[in-house]
Amino acid sequence: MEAPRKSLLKLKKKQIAIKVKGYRPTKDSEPYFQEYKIPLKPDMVVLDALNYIKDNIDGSLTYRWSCRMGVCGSCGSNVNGKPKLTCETFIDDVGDNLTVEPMARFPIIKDLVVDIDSFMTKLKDVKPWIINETEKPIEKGENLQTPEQVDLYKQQSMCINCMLCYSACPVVGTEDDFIGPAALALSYRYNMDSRDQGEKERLKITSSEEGVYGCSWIGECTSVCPKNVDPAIAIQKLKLTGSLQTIKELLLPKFVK
Amino acid sequence: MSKEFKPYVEKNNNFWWLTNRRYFTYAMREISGLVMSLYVLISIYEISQLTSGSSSFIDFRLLAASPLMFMFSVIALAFTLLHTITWFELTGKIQKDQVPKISGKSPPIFALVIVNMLILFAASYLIYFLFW
Repeated sequence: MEAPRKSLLKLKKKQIAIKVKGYRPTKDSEPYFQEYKIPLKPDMVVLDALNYIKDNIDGSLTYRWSCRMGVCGSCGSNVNGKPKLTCETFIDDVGDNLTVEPMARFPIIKDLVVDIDSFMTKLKDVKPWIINETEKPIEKGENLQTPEQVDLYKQQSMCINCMLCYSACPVVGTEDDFIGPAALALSYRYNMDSRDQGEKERLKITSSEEGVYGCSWIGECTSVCPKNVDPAIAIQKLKLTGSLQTIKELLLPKFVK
Repeated sequence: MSKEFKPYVEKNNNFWWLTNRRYFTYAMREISGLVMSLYVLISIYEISQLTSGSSSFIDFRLLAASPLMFMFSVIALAFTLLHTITWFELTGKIQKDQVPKISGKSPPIFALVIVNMLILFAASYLIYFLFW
């Protein structure tokens, strides 16, 4: 049998207070904190606490969630100031003084629900799908890849579009048009895929003013990613590829490009 | 009466760069550009004084030896080291997938950073040897 979590044993608490940021778009001029007291259960995650509040205390509390297992990426919030998936953040790990806020750097629609339209547009802009100049007929068989070819993009392909990296990125907060970490990492993921031929098309977007050069190598996007994607390094690699492409275009004759 | 539906846009906290170690390092790296630019301007002034005759250069040396200038030089050195170390750390991470694999494995980032640093020192010594 698995040993109980050490910190829970230390807590010996039956109830905890949780502060949740609320905002009613047609009533409030700015968000406010509301405190709730909830019974603490072993291995309780922040999402369990929010669900308890919604079911038992305040039915109007609004937040997104779906899979409860860190896969769908819809339950992102700032927990004690840090971007986290609430479904995999144990209350034990974040302590007693728990505050839950909407993800930073996104407009708040209601309570913990933010407007993700800008992200959806940016994501579509980088064309995160396989682009082929000519379609391969089905009778010619599968597009096989070696494990080494998969390794080149596997890490970046784990992105679940939870947007925690956007919440962590200060550039997103100051440059509205900056494409941002997740979309750029996905762009890199498809560039590195041996089945794809869309690199030049994507580089035009990722090397534009809104693209990779807005990133100043802060690295917080990578540190908050719940799926161990590394957008920071993907962006730097896109800078290298983009710069080499620009040099090629400037120096080499057209038929070589 | 209810107000018009409007999403709330939170204002940026001016001290956001103090809220996290990575944000702070980033802010310091950005500031390092300013400090290094100032140091370069002082170096250009030093060269101009050197070409203006020995008395001007002696005056500059006296100024450079003042506690204030010494403190500035130490701060500039600290910022330059921060910029250099973080830059080489980044190049190592990018080079990892670009360099040939050894026995099927990519070389460790740390080894790449050390090699880059050694190349920097060798290049700096070569410049010193050729032009000093």
